[in-house]
Amino acid sequence: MINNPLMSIMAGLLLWSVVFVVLYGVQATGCHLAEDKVSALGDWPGLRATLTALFLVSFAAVVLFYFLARRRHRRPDTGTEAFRREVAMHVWLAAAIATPFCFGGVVWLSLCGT
Amino acid sequence: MIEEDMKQPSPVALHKALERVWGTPPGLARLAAVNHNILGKRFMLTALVFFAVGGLLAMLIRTQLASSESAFMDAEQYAQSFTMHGSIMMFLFAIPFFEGVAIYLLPKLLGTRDLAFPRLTAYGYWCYLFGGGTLIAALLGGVAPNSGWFMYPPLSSNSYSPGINSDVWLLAITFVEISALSAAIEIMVTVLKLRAAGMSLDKMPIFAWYMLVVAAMMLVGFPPLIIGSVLLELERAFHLPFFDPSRGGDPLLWQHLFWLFGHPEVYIIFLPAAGAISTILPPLAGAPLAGYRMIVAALVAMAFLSFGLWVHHMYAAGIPHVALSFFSAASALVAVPTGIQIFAWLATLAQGSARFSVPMLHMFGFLCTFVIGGLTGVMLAMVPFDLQAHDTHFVVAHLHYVLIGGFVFPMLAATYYWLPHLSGRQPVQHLSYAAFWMVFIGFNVTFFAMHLTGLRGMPRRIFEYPIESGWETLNFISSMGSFVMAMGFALVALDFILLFRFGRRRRRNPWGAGTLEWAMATPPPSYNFASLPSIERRADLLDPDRLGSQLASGKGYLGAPNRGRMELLAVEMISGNPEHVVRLPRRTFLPIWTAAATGCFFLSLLFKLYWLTPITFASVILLFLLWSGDTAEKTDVGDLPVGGGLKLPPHGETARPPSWWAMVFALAADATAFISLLFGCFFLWVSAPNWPPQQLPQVALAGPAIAAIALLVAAWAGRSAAARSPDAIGWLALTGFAQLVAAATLTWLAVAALPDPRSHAAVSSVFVVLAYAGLRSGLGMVISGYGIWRIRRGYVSERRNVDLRLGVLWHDYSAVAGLAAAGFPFVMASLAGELSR
Repeated sequence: MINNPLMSIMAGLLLWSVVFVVLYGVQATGCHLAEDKVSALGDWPGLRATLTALFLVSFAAVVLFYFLARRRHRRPDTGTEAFRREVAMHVWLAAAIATPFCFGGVVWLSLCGT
Repeated sequence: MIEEDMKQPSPVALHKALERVWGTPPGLARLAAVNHNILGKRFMLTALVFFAVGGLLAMLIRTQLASSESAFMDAEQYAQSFTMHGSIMMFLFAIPFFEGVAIYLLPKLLGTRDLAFPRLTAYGYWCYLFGGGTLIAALLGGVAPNSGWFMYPPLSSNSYSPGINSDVWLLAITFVEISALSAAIEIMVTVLKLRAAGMSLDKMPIFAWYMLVVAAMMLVGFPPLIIGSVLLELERAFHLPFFDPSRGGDPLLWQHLFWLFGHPEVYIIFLPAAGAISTILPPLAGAPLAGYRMIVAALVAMAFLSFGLWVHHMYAAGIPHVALSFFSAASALVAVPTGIQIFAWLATLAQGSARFSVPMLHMFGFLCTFVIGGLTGVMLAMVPFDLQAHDTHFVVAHLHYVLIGGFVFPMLAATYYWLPHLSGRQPVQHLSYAAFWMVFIGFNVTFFAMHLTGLRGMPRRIFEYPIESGWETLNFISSMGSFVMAMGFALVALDFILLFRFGRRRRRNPWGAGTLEWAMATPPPSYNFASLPSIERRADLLDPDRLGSQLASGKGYLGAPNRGRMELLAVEMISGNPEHVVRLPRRTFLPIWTAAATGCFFLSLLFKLYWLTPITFASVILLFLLWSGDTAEKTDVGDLPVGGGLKLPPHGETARPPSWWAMVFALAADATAFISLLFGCFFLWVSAPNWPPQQLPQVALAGPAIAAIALLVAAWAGRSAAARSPDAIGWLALTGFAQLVAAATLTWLAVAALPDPRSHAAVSSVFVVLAYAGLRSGLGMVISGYGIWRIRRGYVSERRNVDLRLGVLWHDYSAVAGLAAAGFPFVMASLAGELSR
């Protein structure tokens, strides 16, 4: 998948970071653009639908990549390659846990209310 | 060991020959030192002096707060004291101290002779010393910064801080950060390229993994603060309203930029200390480090997660609930990789048979205090609790438990562990135990009481409080504890002095460690290893006693200094296979002169002598260009024998020498700064009041189009020049001309084509983005001219064309960033004009 070991070790949480920036950016921009449409509770259905879709797609992607990393880790190998696969798998697992834990709130929390 | 293919001198003759090449004589020549042994110790010693100054200020603060309505200091003196205490401890002690440790230790742990760019290390040191000296001079002059160590506007703005105080902070700290960024690049290239032969990624010493992660975090973490400081100084000096809400700015922008740096900074400080623990615990516990691979994964996780929680310092600033949940969750989650490391250390202890020594005592202090600090950190990560405890002494207690627990105790453990290496002597240790207990007890009395005053509602940064507040007893106890702690630190200092004076000379490797820094004489010679090792096992499971004598007798790589050059081995960064020979520059006064010129540049801004600014800036560029002469070759050297029948090319004749990687990392830092700037501009559009502006930042299409075409031409011509070297003068002239056109056009757009940038943040944002791109193109022009000069002097050939390939990186990046800048006025005008309505 990713040939450079250093990049493959970072890939899981790099994707998590991109998801973070995208969700935070869409939320802030959406609240700014939807100023008149936001309800008293700080909600706007269009924005919630967008954020929820982005969250679900990214969660599915991270989980998929985690299982791929786990399958690769099970292949027999030694030395640097085994090290790379094991560390990359742990990092993908961290991303798979961190994604719903950090971003799951887009499904129910107030989007624009402070 | 390596089978030698040339006649070997005796170990003594080899030592003398290497010392002639690598050594630094005493006297004035010490100012020209570039050797990492000297500079590492210099960094550590200077940081300790700043620590003493910061500690003294802490004593003044605690004296003031010991009783209610104290008349010891007035509000202004108190404000300067706590601002300087925080700034010194964070910027002048913690970061430089671990930089010093890394500079001293990393080459030894990696099995090499020096860092990748010794002159850059020296330049970083002088920048640090001069920048720190400026802050101390301001303190002595009574004009020290007084807006708190995180300098929030509007308090730090011209309206509320009209004096020079805030300017001192903004400029001096930015000056010091040059040192941190140069160290980050230095460390990354050294860890990735200058390892022992055979040291693949999975065999690296764990400390190298920690420092690699920390350096990468510094590379991404420091640019947002530099951009924030530049923007705030532009507002203070030239009235560009980035943080002024009446003209479309927003003080919250500073908080975002500051904490984008500030929270990763906590981990940047903690991780080197944790790396030291992971290195010294195994020999002290008598067992190999448990969970090496899990620790590497945890480090990567901490690096990323720590960038995703900066807003947890801003819960009270009015952030939407869902965004708070992102940051609150990330703040809680970062405890997991931290916990993994702690459990790995406990597992290491459980596997072995721990030796109860002074370093171990300090590790006990670390574990107790850091775990308490971590737990209060999880409490503060929760929004409802944080809103209660925000800006109280509870937060002050938490951050001291984390920073003293997570940095000072581990660093004391590390210092006691490596003092025999530094000095060649064994600690006397009569005082060590008493010193530890005084620091430990004093610390806990001081800061545990602050949790309680905080929970009782005592705000931080107040210089007096009423007697009826009920805080006096706890504050008095806290102050008494701080004095006990200060006496403890004084005892530690005395203990160190006694060690250097009376310590007994001991054999090397007193701890029975398996790492390479003990495979050399102690104190170490200037070249570390008489010949360079080749390893086949993980670099903390070696036998340095056996290896040391083999290396000293020249049975390694580069064990015959018959070329009279400072040489070391570069490896392929994944496998650790030998790749080329790096020939380092000799000692020189250029770093100190360049740092002095850089200091004059900052002072010209501080004292508003703007006529001097371009002159000092040009001096800095000129001095940097003078650095290039030392390692230049006028003919192709060809492959060099390095031992064991192996021949490798010198670094100047390879595709990707250390300087190529340094340029990549420097551009990554620049890209982070540029993205932070763009983020800031968009943030203002999204969040700031008083938008849209009355005058839109509109420009005609022609100017940006000319700049864009010129930038693309420069990138194309730069690539053509590298491909045709050395017959590339025409192409380089075209590159330089194109960069000149781009620089002139972008500067003209910023200065003459826009409305007044002082009128609104939308215009000032476009102004800064264009000016930044123009500056980058101006430097591109200098790089092209430098290439022409190098070709004319005969320093470039088909094989030796790294100068031109560095130019390719610069011109390519300038084109990408410049195109974004050229399009930015249209984006901002569109956002401000249409979408804001």
